[in-house]
Amino acid sequence: MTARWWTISGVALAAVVLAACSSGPTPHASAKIKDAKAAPNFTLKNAEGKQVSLSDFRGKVVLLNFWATWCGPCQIEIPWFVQFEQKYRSKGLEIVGVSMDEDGWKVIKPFVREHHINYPILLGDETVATLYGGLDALPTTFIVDRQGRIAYPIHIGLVAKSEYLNEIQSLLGSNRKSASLFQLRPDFAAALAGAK
Amino acid sequence: MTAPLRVEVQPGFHVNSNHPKDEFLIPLKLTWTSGPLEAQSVSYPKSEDIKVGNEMLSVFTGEFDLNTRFKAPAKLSPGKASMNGKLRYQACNTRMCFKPATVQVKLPVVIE
Repeated sequence: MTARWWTISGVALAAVVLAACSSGPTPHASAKIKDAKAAPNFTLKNAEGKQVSLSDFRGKVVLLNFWATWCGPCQIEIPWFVQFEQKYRSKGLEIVGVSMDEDGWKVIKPFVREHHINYPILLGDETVATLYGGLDALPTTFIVDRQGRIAYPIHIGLVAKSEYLNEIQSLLGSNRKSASLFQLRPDFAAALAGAK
Repeated sequence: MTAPLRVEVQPGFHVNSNHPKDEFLIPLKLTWTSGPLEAQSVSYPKSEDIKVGNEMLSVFTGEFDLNTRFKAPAKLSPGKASMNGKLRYQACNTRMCFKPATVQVKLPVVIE
């Protein structure tokens, strides 16, 4: 009794579909978004089970990084974020990492220890993925200004460290009230200037 | 007897090999779950090392075969049947990664 093999092609098809998910390099613009929209709020749990919301960081510049332990390019960016946290936290920057690992804290906790991550890590879910456009590819990073708005175009994939730095420094530098008011209400800022 | 399973990864992408260098990366893994034959072993191709950032990764690219050695049990009924399995993989390019995924694979066989 013998078994004869027939052709199989299902896996090749799957690989093609997989690669088609990528739309190629994402254009990165260094200019701020003119009509910046509010970053969708969410509430997720940290490693201690405490609920943390994005709105908790209102008033700070937030680098919101979606990542996963299995994501190589994410591992390149994470040491930069550790540096940013050390250097700019006192100036109003908050790095927030949202892990999209399906295996949860059992894989995230060892990774956090090994990579000496010094900023808040939350466990993401499908709800937050939907809020932020599906998150089909990682890393995906949003820069949120002090008013809770997405200030720059979305970063999908690995981005130059200098690009993050430019955006962060630009937003941190605009902490003065007059600058914020001018962004929000040019007419109001002009009125204030005239009252001096 | 050995049966190949042809895998094709689109240019510009890679999947982790069956033995990634980093413990957190998800390996390519073919598992046979049901069917009349007994899967004895799966052999993977030679992986290639690529550099992403400062990290060396062990990956597969392009087209390659995963060869499974099957054993036929003593008592098999003649006729058409299929071996069912799943292929777990995780794909990236040099800038981004995609969620780990599992595809079902089916290998039609004719028992004669």
